[in-house]
Amino acid sequence: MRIPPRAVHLTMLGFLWVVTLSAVATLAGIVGWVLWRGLPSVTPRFLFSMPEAAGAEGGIASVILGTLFIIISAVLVATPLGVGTAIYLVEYTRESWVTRVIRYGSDCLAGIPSIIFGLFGYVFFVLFLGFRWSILSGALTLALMSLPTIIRTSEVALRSVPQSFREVSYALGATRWQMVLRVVIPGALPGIVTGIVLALGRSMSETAAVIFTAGTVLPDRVPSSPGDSVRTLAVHFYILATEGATDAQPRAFGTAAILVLAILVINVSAYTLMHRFLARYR
Amino acid sequence: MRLFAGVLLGLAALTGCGGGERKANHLTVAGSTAFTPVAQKLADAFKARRPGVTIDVHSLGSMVGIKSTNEGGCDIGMADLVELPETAKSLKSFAVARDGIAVVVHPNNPVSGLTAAEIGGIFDGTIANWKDVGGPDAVITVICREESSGTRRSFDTIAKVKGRVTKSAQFQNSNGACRAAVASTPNAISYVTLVQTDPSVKLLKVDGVEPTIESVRAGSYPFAATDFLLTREDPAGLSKEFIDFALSPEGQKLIVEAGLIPVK
Amino acid sequence: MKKETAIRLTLLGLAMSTVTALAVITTFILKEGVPVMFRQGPAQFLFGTEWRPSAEPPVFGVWAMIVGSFAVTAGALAIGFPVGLGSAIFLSEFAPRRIAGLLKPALELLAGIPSVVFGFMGMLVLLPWIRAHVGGPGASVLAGSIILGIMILPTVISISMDALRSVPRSYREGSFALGATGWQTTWRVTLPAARAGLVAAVILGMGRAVGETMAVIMVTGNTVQIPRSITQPVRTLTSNIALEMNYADGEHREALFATGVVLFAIIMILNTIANAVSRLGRRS
Repeated sequence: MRIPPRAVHLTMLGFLWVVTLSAVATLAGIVGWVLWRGLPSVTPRFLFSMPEAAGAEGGIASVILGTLFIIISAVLVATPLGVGTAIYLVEYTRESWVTRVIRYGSDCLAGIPSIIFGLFGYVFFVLFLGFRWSILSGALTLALMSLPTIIRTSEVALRSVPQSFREVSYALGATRWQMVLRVVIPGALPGIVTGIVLALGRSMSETAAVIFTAGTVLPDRVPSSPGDSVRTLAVHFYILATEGATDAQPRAFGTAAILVLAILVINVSAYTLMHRFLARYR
Repeated sequence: MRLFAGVLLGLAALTGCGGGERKANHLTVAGSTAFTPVAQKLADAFKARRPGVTIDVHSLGSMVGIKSTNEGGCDIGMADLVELPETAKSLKSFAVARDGIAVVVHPNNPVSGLTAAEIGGIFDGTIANWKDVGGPDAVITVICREESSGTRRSFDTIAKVKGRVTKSAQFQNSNGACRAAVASTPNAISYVTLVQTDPSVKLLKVDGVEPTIESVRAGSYPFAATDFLLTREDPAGLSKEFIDFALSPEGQKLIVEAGLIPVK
Repeated sequence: MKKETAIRLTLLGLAMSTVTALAVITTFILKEGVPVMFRQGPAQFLFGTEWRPSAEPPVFGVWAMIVGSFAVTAGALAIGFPVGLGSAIFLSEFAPRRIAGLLKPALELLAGIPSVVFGFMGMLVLLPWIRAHVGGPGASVLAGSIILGIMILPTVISISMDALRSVPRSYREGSFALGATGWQTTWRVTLPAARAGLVAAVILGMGRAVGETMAVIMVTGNTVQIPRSITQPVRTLTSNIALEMNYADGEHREALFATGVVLFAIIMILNTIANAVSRLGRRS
């Protein structure tokens, strides 16, 4: 017996609806679960006071600050490197073995698991360069991790600036660098910023690479130098979740809720920014 | 590349300055995960007495505490062990507290006590079923700490299973994770430092002795380790003050409040 | 003109940062990890099933972890790939515009959930469920596969969608003109044409699963053994490193770096294959 193609089509269509909705529902469910369990613990006191009793009491102010310091320093290091690479690839060279090598490097970096970055950061920044467990070691490790993201988004952004803009600039007698600085970069800026924002989000959610480079100290003060060791939100959550006493659990969920919310906000801004930008040259 | 090197150097210079400035009233304490919460409490009380002093407590494990003290990576190391290993022989060590290691099972497990020999048999795999030690007919799930945790070393030494832990053992890398795993696994057995136990797990008697602060103190409960503070040279300055504080009546009182056994 | 040259060279220097970083990372990981492999004997290290760092003398063999990593990864793909591909087909071929416009960004946003959150969820919700309804101790290959299967969904969906979208419209139009239904077109025309990109999606999903650490450590039990069923606990290469690294010292630490070398090699091989496949796809 042959099943009519139309029936097969409708069955499959129904099946795909179910599959897709369950995929989205599972992921959204996890976020919902964390927020539902965690948000009740998030009070102004929790956000703005220092941790006490190894995180089982008090708040997460120093953890939030430590996270911000690390991810912002990471991006400050990665941005010139990543955007510079993208400008070189798009504006200053043709496709050749050099660009292939650079792209290969970037692709490989993108594929390296975070635990390898953690090992490397530990031997190189913490021990070899003597930065110890610190904001500095953590930030440099995260900077290397986020390079590929920044390179890729910046490259897309630079390429989407219409060729005619460049021709006009040349016609007016600008040098290549003047053209890049005055025409291409301003045109591509929202796209470049998107990449930077995505890198912030990725750094924020990272645990394995940070735990071995920034350490696990839970500071009870505002970090004051790049040599201070701090805990990021993700590391603090991991430690409370696995090591903490049972009565630390509300705080573990509270930390997770803040972490997830922050990442959602970061991703939403990156997403809207990118869409506005792409719409501009369409 | 040049810029990258420049940024690195600049940042390095910044760290250098930061570190140098603060050195005089800053202490770095690193080591044993089990002792960390107690060290944190001691540090809080110490800082209250000495405004302006800052103390970082790194929870890294006893062996790293010893290594880090040897290499000058920290001012004071922390280790919880039955006895200090060869590598710590050149260090100055101060026993500040003792803690029991409780053998724990799921609250619904009918077994309420084991002999030290039975515990050794369970952890090296020669006893694999609860019915062999007077329990129900169920396969035992052995949950261990990872290699080279201080608690693991002490436990393996006392239970005589060093290097022979059963291949089917699961591993968790903290006291809290072991406790959580046992609390949620009906046929599991694991061990947790006494201070980290809570009602979510059942503490077993060993050779008929209940693990309590009194029995550890009296020496009748066999599974116990010592918490050491370590320094590379004879302690001076802030390190000396901190160790003296830990051994002072006030420090020892904090140690008792934290659930440990004082040495004085 | 001098200034332009200086700028070009500076930019080239910046652009070499990725390659430099890659070279330095490779050098340091190899330098720390390779000597102990040779002291132990490379075959002994790779294919030994004993991992006893505190025995006298210590024994380091990672075969059980290699098998563990692949077991969990295979399970993750078995769960994540069909669901991911199904969602990608739906979103790029069949979904009403407004639904797709809603679900696509939702998926991209959810790609950012930190892995520790997945692991925690697995620990509190999935493990008790497996223990009650499937059996075994809960922490297992199955638990790792489910959690990783969910985690790789956004990666698999977005790469599969790219692959499907790169199939020219005219292919589909030709098929419809011959009277094929939507599903026939997808099954006979679009999917075969997107084959190379879909293979890349599988391989990159695999890379993500092999490299994942924090979620896996929380749900697989970390037993050093070659699993005989999916309800048994295992240890992966990544969890071996993260579990013991904080405490390790001397030769033990080197052995963990050597574990990193094995992981690194596996990832590089996967990336190279993914690269080659998608280049082949682009050419044809």
